[in-house]
Amino acid sequence: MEYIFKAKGLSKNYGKFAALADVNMEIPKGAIYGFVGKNGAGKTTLIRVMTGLQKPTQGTYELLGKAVDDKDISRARRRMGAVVESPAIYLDMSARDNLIQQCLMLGLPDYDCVDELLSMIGLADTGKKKARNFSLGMRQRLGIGVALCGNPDFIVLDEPINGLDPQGIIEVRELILKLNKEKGITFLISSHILDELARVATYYGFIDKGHIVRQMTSKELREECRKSIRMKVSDVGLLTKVMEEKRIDYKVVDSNTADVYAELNFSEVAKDFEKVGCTIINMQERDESLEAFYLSLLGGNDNVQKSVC
Amino acid sequence: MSNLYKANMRRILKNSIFVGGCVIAFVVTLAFTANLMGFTGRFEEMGPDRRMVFVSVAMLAFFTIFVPLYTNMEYRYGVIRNKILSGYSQKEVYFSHLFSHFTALAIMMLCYITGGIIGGARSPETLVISSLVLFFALCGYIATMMLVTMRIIKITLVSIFAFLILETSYVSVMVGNALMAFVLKGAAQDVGRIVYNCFAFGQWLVCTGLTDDVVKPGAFVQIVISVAVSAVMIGITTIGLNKRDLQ
Amino acid sequence: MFRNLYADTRNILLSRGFHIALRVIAIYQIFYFLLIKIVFIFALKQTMAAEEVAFIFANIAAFLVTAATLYISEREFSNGCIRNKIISGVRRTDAFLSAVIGGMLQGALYAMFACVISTVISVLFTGGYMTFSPPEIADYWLIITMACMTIGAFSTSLIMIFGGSKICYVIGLLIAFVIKVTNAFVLDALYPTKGFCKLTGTKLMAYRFIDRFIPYSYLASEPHYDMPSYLIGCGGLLIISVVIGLIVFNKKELS
Repeated sequence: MEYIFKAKGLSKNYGKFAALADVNMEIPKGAIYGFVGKNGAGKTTLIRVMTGLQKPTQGTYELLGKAVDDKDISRARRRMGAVVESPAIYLDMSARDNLIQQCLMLGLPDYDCVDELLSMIGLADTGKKKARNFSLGMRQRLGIGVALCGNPDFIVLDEPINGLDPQGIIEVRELILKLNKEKGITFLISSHILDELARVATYYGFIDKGHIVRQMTSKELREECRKSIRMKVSDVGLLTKVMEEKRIDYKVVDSNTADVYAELNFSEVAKDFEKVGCTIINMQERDESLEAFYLSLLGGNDNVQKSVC
Repeated sequence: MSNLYKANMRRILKNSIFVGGCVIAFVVTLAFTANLMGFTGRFEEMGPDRRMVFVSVAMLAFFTIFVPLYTNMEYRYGVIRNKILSGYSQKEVYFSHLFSHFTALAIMMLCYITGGIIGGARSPETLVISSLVLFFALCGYIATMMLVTMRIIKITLVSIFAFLILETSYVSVMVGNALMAFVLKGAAQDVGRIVYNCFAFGQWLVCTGLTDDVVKPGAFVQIVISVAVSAVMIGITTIGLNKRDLQ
Repeated sequence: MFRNLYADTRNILLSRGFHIALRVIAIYQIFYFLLIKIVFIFALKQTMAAEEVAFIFANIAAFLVTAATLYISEREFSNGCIRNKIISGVRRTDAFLSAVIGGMLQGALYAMFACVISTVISVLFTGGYMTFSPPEIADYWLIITMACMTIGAFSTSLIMIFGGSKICYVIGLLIAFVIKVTNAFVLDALYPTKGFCKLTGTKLMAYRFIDRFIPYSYLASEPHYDMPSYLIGCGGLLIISVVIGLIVFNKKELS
């Protein structure tokens, strides 16, 4: 598999404080990578290191095929766009001028892409209005537009839907999906709004106290969050026999426990288990939302949560 | 880096403060040189050429304000992040700003010289030599302002240090006048002459002819001193610049 | 109003900018004293009079007070604290007056601190005052203090008027510098080293006005007018700053 970004043993210290500690992370090419973590977990620090704003204290990374100490990494960065924390825009310039300025900086031969970008981010009607007079949401969109200049292969978005109205959130989501599908752009999106992330991300990385706790595909995450009944039985082998006969989807957790992914008629199941000589010790309904999974993974609530809606 | 330079120049040329400054440079130089305000006494006796040089001090004040405020926007708006993200190093960002400020100075000096010529300045010494000396002196001054701007992020502190440098230059030159005239002799006087001309203020005073001959080292030496000052300031600014972490 | 004033005063006294300003005053005076002492010992070979170093704070007073008030008061706008005050129900007039009084307090404290340092140095390390009598010394420091308080108030008013825009970072310092340079010409014209003053008419009036009634000028030379002139100058600038500042600040859009 080809990776847009690969970090190995990456650490970043601010004095004695370790903001990142031995981070190993891979972002596959073409993925929409959802980067999740608590406040102060190290998401923005990692993004700053990745984008070249800061140097790592230890470890290495590879970006777009170039190692961090490679002389050509600066050229590789031209194929990258990012919005880190707050949008970096000239407040004394209009949206159009900001995009032209970015095009100039990237050495693009013309500004043909500017009109298309303005339409894409919904700022085509702003005319000569200076960015200082934009709302927070408009500034955020302009920041995304600046990141899109030059047709990058990799875009990093740090809290991209901050300050956006519901319409804006939908538009950004659809833009991300469209660019990923049509142009194969890889995204790294750091966000706290898990439901929104769940609609776009194909990969996830969970970070806590500077460590990558877990990386998984969206499919694996869906598996973790699927509604199921956790059954503790005397013999899981007998349980599997019953489930196979009934063609019910299940997953063995350990020698006494299995998750069953189906609505069960408990009186029937009890009879079937009795027939094969299997005793049901305990049954528990599990319906782990992404939020509950996040809390159980990164701390906060050890109990299984029922879904909110 | 040429792309960064072009982007910076585009911004400067669209900046209303700079454009206004160029217009004022032209108008005020014209008015002063031609003595349209009807000054009498010392100003009248100066003649158009020396009046033209005298009024150029306003460019010193202008760049004390313009360079820090304009360049500090990189940090205030966070736009330096876009440049680093696009693959440029902090040194490249610095040099692009430095050269674009030098270019802006050259444009303003053109407006100043044009105003002076229309106002009646005719002496080739004033128009060519003094202007060249002042240009290099102001380049050294801009390099000093850039040192403050690139190393200090908080805009209030940038402004305070910029004016501190301006005040220090002024006081040093005033004290220098007295020391050179009455105290320093021989080798000490030679050293004093060089130190005096390290300040853009000092070189400006020498060009106006308001100082004693003892502080005048000659136009060529002044230019060499200015280039040396620029080189030192550039060197200090760029030490460890690429290793600096950005927020 | 008093609660707000207490909060602002506490903020100033605990702020890093205030402590740095005090350290700068001390270091500047001590450094200048050492330099002049070396000149007197090795070059001039005579006892140094206190007058040589006693009032050197006046050289940097305008810049220091302006810079310190800029550093401390500008935070109100950059941190958004002024918004919090207005939202919390503090009247704009109260917020403005409290800031200006804070600026005056800063000016007074810096001048008094400089006076203490100067007195210690003069008494312990010099040959004493040769030309100034104690009432004259007291007068001089009183005028310096009044000028610093007025400059502190004026500078703070400018910040409150222009706060939030780029101009607030430079206007106070620019005015202080321009007046300093102008004072040099004014003093040279009014009191030339050789010969008599040749100014007449409007020019003489204008120069005299600057020398007599602009508080920045009080720091440029020893006192040479009567106390009512200084009181009028300081009071006048204070009243103008406060009146114009109140009018503008009450109508100002805060973002």
